Amino acid sequence: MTKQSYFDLTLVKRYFHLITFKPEKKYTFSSMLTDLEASVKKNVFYSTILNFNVVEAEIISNMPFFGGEEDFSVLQNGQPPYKYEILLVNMPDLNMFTIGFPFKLLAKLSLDKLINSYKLLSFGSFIKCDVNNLLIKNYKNDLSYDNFLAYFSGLDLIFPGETKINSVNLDGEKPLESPLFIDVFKDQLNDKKCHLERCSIKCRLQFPKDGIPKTQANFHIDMFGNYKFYLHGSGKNIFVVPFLFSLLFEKGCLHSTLNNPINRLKDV
Amino acid sequence: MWLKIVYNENDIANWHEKSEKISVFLEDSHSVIIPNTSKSFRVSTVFPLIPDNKKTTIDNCIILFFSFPNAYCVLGRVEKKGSKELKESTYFSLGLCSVILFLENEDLLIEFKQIIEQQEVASERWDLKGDKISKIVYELNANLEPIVHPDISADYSILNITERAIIDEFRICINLLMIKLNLHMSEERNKFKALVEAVDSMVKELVYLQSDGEIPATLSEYSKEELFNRKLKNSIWHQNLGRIIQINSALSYVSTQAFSGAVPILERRSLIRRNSLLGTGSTILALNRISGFIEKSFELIDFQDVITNKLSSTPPLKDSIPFPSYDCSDWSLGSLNTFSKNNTTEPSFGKLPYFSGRLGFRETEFSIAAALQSITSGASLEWSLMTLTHEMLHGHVRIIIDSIFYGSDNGKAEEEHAQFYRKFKDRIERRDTKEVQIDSIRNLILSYCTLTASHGSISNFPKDKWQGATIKLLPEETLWKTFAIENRDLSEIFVHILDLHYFYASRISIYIPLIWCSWLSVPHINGDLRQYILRSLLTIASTIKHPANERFQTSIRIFFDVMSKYNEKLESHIIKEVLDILQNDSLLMANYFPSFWISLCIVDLVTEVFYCPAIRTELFKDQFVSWASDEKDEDEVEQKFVYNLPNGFNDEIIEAPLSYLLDRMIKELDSMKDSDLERETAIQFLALNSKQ
Repeated sequence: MTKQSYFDLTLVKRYFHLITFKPEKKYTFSSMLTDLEASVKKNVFYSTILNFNVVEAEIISNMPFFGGEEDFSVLQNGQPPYKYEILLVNMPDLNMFTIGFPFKLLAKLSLDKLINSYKLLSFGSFIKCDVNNLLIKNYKNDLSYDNFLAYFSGLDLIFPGETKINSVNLDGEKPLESPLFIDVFKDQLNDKKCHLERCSIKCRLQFPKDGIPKTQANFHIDMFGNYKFYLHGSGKNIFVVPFLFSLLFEKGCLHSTLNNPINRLKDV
Repeated sequence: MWLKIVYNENDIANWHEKSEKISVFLEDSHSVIIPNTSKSFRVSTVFPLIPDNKKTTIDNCIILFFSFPNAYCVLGRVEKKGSKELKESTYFSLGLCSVILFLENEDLLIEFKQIIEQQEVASERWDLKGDKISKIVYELNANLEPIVHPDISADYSILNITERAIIDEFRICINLLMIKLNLHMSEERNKFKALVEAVDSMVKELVYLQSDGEIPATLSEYSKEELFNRKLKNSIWHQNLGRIIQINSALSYVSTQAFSGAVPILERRSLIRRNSLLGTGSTILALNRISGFIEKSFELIDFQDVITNKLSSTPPLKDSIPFPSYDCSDWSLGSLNTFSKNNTTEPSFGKLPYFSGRLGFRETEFSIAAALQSITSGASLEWSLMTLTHEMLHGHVRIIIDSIFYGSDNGKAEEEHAQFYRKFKDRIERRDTKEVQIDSIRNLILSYCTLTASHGSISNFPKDKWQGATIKLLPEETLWKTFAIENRDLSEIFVHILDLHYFYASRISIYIPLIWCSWLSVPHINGDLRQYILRSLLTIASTIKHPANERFQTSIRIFFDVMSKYNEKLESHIIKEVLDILQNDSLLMANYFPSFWISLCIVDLVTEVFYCPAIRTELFKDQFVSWASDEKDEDEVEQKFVYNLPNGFNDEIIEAPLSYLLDRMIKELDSMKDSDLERETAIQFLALNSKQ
């Protein structure tokens, strides 16, 4: 496949905010598309390594979520209604699906609608990652899953009992291998004197196989169920999503939550 | 809303046979409606899960009462996952049966059970025919196998009837309590076992003092001859009896407040009449959680052992003399934090928590009382349960001060005090003596006490004009009398500084307004405003590192800014008066500065030596604790403390209950909205019980 052939996205080269949902009963991937009033533009991929498909869809809203740098209006006249592209990843083996929004506020309003008008939570729950536990269980750094390699590239440590320093942000190529982390912060984590609230996990799909491209993405994950990554120009790094969730599931770090993750983002 | 039963007094005793004579009503009114009949009644406040959805009739309903280990999570799940009908049928209360369903048929019960993911501790079902109870069925899921209850092992038959009666009372009370405890709060059993062991030791001491047998282990620090001393004998005798009486009193409160209204609901009427039907069991559990959590966190350091034994072999506090021109920059080297253990253990026995209309917030050796007003208004700034932290700290500070001055507990306090005085005298007269850390601490406190005679203290005005601070050694007897008088003020300074740093995350902008809100509800504050202003200034000073005079001015400025911010919201003439005083420089210099100045050494001693960051880490250990900075806020003084959990009910565990409570108080302080106080209070009580 050529670089451009995966998606027809215009909203690329920007951060996408992801939410993952696990249905319990009578709720399908199509139900969510219907409830979101999303029109499918492309049902992009199906893999034999992992069973998943990625859907590119559009939703229409009268709300302008952008700062005016691009014209998202349906009639290209700068006036409402506007159309926005979203990405959905269906992961039937995990019984989960992920929705990616190009704007945080769009994510918030869409989820509020799903919860309040379509009673989303009566059909399942959101999925959050216990990032603290993931870190403590995997100090050895590299996390691998079949064709997939991931490692921590950033740690936001919160020190609840400290008041002079409240948080420490460790960013770098591989912070877990740093003597500073090993000598200072590892013990603090083990003694529960601090906890990981957010982290970045660098993910690589290494070997092109069964049509899955070689690609990479840096995922920012918080403990409340918010995931964020930068969608490259080709959009193909969305394929990292099912591999990441398969890995987190295998590590036993995914848990249900009934609280809307977006509402617990500090800056929403 | 009020859930009410109306009945003839004769029928209630046989409620299981005559339930059809009991009427049940659900009423919506701000105040309780007293039935205009000769019949008796019981009521309880209940709250609809959906605030604006209030049932108008419950005739022919099935009423289900549930006691869950974690009602907060159950209600969170129902609120988020339940159908509209289920949510509209769900109510909550402050009783042990805190989840109530009013159902027209059993279909919704199936949905409820599918959602909640929890096994109830107990449940009860009332089927109504019209407004009468046609049937009552209840179920207890506790282990009903007979369990041997803890009891006093000492044979106390030798004691007089007066003492025997006190001990009998304790044993009966414990026995009755353990039966209920096994059924409804089995996780609390160990606490009461430990209490029985403590009382058993006291009884053994009483028996020994009466019979002269073998010295019990708990009195082993005394010789037989010493125990023959009438003064010592009397002291131990009265102290032990006083303690058992105090425990008996607390037990009767705990027993009635915790278990009235427990399944079977009609068996016992709560003495808190406003909740006479379902009781207040969940509020007692919440108090228990708070006090137990604090006690466990403080177990990280054995303060008594460290002060009594370890500080006798650690170096003195550097530059603590000449007083008060001390330099505390290296005192943190002597911080008790260095003695913290890696893990906390369960405390030997916890305080007995209960609500009291008479005592309000009050701590004793064996009990902790919260104001009765907190049951309805605990979410308000005036009656917040955060006040408990202050009371609990009084117990902690009592241990610290007692360990410093009476630590060895060998009955030779007079001799020891004479020795402490000699060492102090040597220090004042600049004799070169060998000093260790505990000596420095005692000398600082005694220096402070000496100067209070001229410079005043937080509760006493300065006596002389400002004279600097030359310490004139007081005669020994006068010094110890001054120490006894100043003990209360000393303790208050300790408590405020520890309260700020341990429980309020060192946030002055939160602590000062919140503590003043609790004081505004105290009637006598107006008569002693100076004391409360000085307490505030000294607490603020614990966060400032400047020379004394600058510290005073900076503390005043910070205090003024914080109080001005909340002046309008708090709408109190007292705040206006405080602001006036804070602008009166001559008054402040004459009446406040001398006492402030000499108290700074205590402030620094507490901040640098007795405050232990390891304990605060324990108190704030919770994944939802976080801080946020708002750079757009022009008035931002400190980063904001955040407990990242949405309002209302949630399917989440609250690991650090006081962090949750602090966050709710901050929200209340910053909120301009009038919320339904009683409902919010009930939610907070149930949230405080949300643990694994």
